[in-house]
Amino acid sequence: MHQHNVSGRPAFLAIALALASVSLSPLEASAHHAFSAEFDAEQPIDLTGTVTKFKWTNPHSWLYFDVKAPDGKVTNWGVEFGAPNSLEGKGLKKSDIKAGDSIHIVGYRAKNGGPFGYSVTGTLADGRVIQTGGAQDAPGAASAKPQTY
Amino acid sequence: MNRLDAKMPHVLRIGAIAVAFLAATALPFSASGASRGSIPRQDGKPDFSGIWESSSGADYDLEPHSDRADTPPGVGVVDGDTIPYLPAALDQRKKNFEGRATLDPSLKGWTLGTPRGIYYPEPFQIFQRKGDLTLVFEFGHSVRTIYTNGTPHHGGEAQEYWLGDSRAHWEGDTLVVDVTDFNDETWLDRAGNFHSEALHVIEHWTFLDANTISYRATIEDPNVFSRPWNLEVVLNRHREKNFQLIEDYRYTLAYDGLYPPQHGPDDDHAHPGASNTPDTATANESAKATAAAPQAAVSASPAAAAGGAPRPPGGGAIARETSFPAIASAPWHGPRLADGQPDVQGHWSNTIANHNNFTDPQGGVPGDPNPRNIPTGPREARAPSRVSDPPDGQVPFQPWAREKVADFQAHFHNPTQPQYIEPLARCAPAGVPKSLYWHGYEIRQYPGYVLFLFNSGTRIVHLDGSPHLPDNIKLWNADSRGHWEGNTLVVDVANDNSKALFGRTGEFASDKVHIVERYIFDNSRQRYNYVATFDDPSVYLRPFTVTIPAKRWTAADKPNGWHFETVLANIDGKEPVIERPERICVENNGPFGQVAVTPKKK
Repeated sequence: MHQHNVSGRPAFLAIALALASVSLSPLEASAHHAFSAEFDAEQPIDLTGTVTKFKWTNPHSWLYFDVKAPDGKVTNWGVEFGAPNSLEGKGLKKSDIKAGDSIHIVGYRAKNGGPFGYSVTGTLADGRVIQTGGAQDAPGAASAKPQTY
Repeated sequence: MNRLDAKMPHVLRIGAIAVAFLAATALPFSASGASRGSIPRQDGKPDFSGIWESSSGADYDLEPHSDRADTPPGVGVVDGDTIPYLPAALDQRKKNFEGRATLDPSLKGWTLGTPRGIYYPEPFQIFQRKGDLTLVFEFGHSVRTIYTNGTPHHGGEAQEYWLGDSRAHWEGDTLVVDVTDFNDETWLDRAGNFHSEALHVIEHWTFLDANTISYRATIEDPNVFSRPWNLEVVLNRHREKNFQLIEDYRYTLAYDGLYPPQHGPDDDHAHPGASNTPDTATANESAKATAAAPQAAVSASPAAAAGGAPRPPGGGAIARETSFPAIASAPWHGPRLADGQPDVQGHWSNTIANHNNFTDPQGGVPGDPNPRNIPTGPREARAPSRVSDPPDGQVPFQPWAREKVADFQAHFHNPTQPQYIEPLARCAPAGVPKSLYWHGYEIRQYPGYVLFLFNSGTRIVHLDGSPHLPDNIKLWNADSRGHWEGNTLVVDVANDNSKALFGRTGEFASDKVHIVERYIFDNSRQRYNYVATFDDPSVYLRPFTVTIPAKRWTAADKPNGWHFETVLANIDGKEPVIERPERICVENNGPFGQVAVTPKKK
């Protein structure tokens, strides 16, 4: 499952490219925790699935979605988004993401190796690409060159 | 049977006795309200200020019940006895009930919600002022604001609050509160009664007598109940000698033993990192002299960055000033509250940086794997150390403690042991002094109190001259006893569990630390400087001084996600009203604990 869903360097570059086109507002960037202590910049994730729950909460919103592996096994992933205040500033509304919607998440996996991660960008069912992460010290949020790691 | 109806004559009788007694003695409530009628009043309205708790037993089970090993029998508090569940919801309630020994959210220390927080058997304190009531719950120290300023619920999409969005008005002497915008994480009691995000609560708060409140709640939730239903409990004022609200962050118990570092038997052998310690005897005298003097000017040298284009101070736009003005202790010429306190209420935030680095606030977290997060250029180009004395800007740690700090810093970015995960990331309160540079915060003032509402944690400063809590009580936000000296709020801080650490650089105190804080407000009311001495002979070689500048944020500022996490409401074109949405760290209640699990060593 992980080999399929959690990709390597190509996704990493994709993140860099995606972020290069996103205007960053550091004042709106906030992080409850240090990115590096919780998430692994060397484990990018690139996942597509079906939303099961979207929690619009402080200090971070969390998106849960089912990802189906080729063998049919479904894993429920949880990824961190920014705070509602920050997401609203980026044009995202709570109702933009509903259970049953398809979602494409690019980000980084939690260090503990579980089905959790930090979402950098989300592609919504309507095709919009939203910068979802709020950690100012996350690769991508503070740097357009995450591959320098 | 309606329990309250049956009890009412008795309650009234007790109330009459109490009123008669109180009329002849010192009243334990706001003296300003004693002149009109038998209940305390503020601006003509009932004043619910005080510490309250229900002895109803409602939290065991809202409905009538008996014959349970884990619950005393009770007649319940629901009008008509039975909660009108929809069929599918009733099935869910049964599952909740059967699994209550493990499923009840309160067992995890999760915020109790509304109305459960009102009748859960732990006290809560109401701080009432013109425009709002602030409820601080002992359980979780969570904060609920009930607006009485005429503002409506925010339009648009519903938010997901633990305690809901509360808008109130007065109907005679009854406070009527409309509460919406709930999440679905809380239960209504420990028997598994529950609700969905569609919960709508209408509360009626009415004094039965000066020390007793009737609390009635109408519960609506079309996803769970077939019709609205009512519950009613009685709240009693705490009047025991020395009774006070004590923070109960019980959700931290699973990890709080990891902090702060302890002085172990093997810590005194070799100290390769202990070369930077000042002369102890001389330094002690120096610290005392500095602490007693007005604050010295605090600024970094305006040194030009040498060569090239150095990266700016770390911390994004959170980092702002590289120097800041000193503020002298002086008489207060600004507005005052009715009890004489200088009025410094409002929204504040530090002006230099977050808690990434305690002594080089704009220097980034040492060892950050992303080099772009570490500024280049001379140290003088960044804000000075928060340690304003000793002059070298370093905490005068004893050798063993300095090594603990170095060890924390060496492992922060790859926490191979759980003690290297910063407690704030686990949703623990930010404590003293870190709360003052962890997001913006609000100060509310009341007769006898200054209340700090932080992004992570709540702090109640007592101004009544009462002594500190018993020494064996140790708290994340410590115990604060203060008084005003002109423009300066002086706070004596003890009972600090010191588990919060000072920043991502791991500086710490022990639970023996004694802190004297001086919040020195400029008469313009636009700035204040926090100047505090930390004394802990078990950790430091000498006392040291911490200085943190802060500025006020107002309705003229655009809300943002760090310094000013507010919502601006307008009432019919009048001055904007700044509102502070609920701050409850959801990771405590969600997946963060799993994310933060210490990774296995590779």
